[in-house]
Amino acid sequence: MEGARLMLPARRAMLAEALAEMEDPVAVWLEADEGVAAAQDLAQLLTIQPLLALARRAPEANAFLPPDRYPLYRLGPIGDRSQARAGFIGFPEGFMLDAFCDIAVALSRGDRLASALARDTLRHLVRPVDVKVLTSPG
Amino acid sequence: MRLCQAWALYSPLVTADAVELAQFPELSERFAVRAVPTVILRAGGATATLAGALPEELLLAALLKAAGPELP
Repeated sequence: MEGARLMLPARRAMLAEALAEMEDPVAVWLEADEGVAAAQDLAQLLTIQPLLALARRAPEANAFLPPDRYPLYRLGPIGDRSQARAGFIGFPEGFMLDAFCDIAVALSRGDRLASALARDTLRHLVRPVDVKVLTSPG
Repeated sequence: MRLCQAWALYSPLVTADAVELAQFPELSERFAVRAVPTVILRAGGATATLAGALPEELLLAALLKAAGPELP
C-alpha cells in the first residue's frame, strides 16, 4: 500500500493519539474516481477510528479541474461531507498525510488554527468564497 | 497554504484547496502564474488573483473585498 509505506509508524501513532483526544474528530474525505488506486489505498490506510475516509467523486470540483485526473482530499467533520472545505489536490500522499497530521494534532490540542485577525475578518463574510492556492511543495 | 485552509476550517463560507501546480501546468497558463503561491479567490462570479507570498493582512483584505458586504 503506497500510503502505508509513506507514513512512518511513529507518525501514524501520533495521528491516532491526536484523533483519540479530539472532542470533534475530523475526517478526511477522499473524492476520487474509483479507478484511482492510490486514493483507495489511502482510504484504507486512513480508516483509523475516529478518522474516517471515504472515496467518491467530487462533482463540484469539475469547474476548476477535470475530476478524472486527481483525487481530492478534504478535511471536515465526520458525517457531513458538505462541511469538508479544506483540501489538497495533486500532492504526494506523504505530503498530504503530514499536513493532515499537523492539522489533527493542532486541533486535538485545542489550537485555533485561524489567527484572531482572520477570525474577526471571516465573521464579516456574507457570501461563499472559493480559495485555490496554486503552489508546489518543492 | 495552510493559512487559507485554517480559514476554511473556521468559516462555513470558505472553501480552500491547495493545488499542486506541477501536476496541472494548464493552470499556470490559465491564471498567468508568475510566482508561487498564487491565490485565486472566486466569489459571486468574480475572480481575484494574488501572486506571491503575501502577509495575512493583505490576503484577508482581498477576501473581505471578494466576499464581504457591499460598500455603499
